[in-house]
Amino acid sequence: MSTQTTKIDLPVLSHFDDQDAPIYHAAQVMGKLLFETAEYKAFLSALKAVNSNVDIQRLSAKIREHNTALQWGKGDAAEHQSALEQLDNEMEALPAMLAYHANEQATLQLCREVDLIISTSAGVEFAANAKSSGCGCGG
Amino acid sequence: MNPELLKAARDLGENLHQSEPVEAYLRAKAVVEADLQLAERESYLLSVYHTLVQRQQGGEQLTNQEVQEYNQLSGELQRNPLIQARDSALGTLKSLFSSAGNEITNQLGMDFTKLALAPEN
Repeated sequence: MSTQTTKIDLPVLSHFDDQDAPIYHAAQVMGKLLFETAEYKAFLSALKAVNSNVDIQRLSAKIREHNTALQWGKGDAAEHQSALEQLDNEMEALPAMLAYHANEQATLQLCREVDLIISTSAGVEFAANAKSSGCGCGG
Repeated sequence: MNPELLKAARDLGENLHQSEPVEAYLRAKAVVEADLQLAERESYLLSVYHTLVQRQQGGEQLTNQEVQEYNQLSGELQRNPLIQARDSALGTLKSLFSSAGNEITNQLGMDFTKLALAPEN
């Protein structure tokens, strides 16, 4: 008894054609170098600190409670709004949040500068044309 | 910015500049810009669009005639073969840029385009 085998030619799944390989490589190298910058590492570290900060977790839980109450129409809306504003101010004043925002701004500035350099060299705006439109319409 | 990152960003930009989609788009864009009458009409359409949006955002109700005139001009330009060729080339360019952007995003673990385009405080 023999076993028949069928050979199927599977397509190579890639976002890039062979001619685009240098672009693929250059984008990877640039992404790795950006990841390794002091600004980006500090940003990730500040983000991690925010996510594990007990005061922020406590305040976030209270904010969620007030938002849920507002959503379901429970209690006095003005009191909830006032409490939310106070909690938000309290949270934003925490050292971990201040550090997070400072590091975030440094990273955003770096990314803007990187985008400007890519765009200038390409002759066309990079990030503005690379962002996903979200509508699948190509716009 | 460190020199290595600066060089990598320039390399990526230069590779994109030399790609067929960017060359084709820049050619098609230049053709539209060289047709002065067409470029003027497109520029006029853009100014009309901004004025209408601004008025609408200011709470003003636009007249049917204004909207119809805008749609007519917009339709005429969209049917122009030179504009169609440029917009089609732009679509191809965006697909390539999106793939390149995804590669950066994969390395970062965060959307690079969102970081780069975030509004300044």
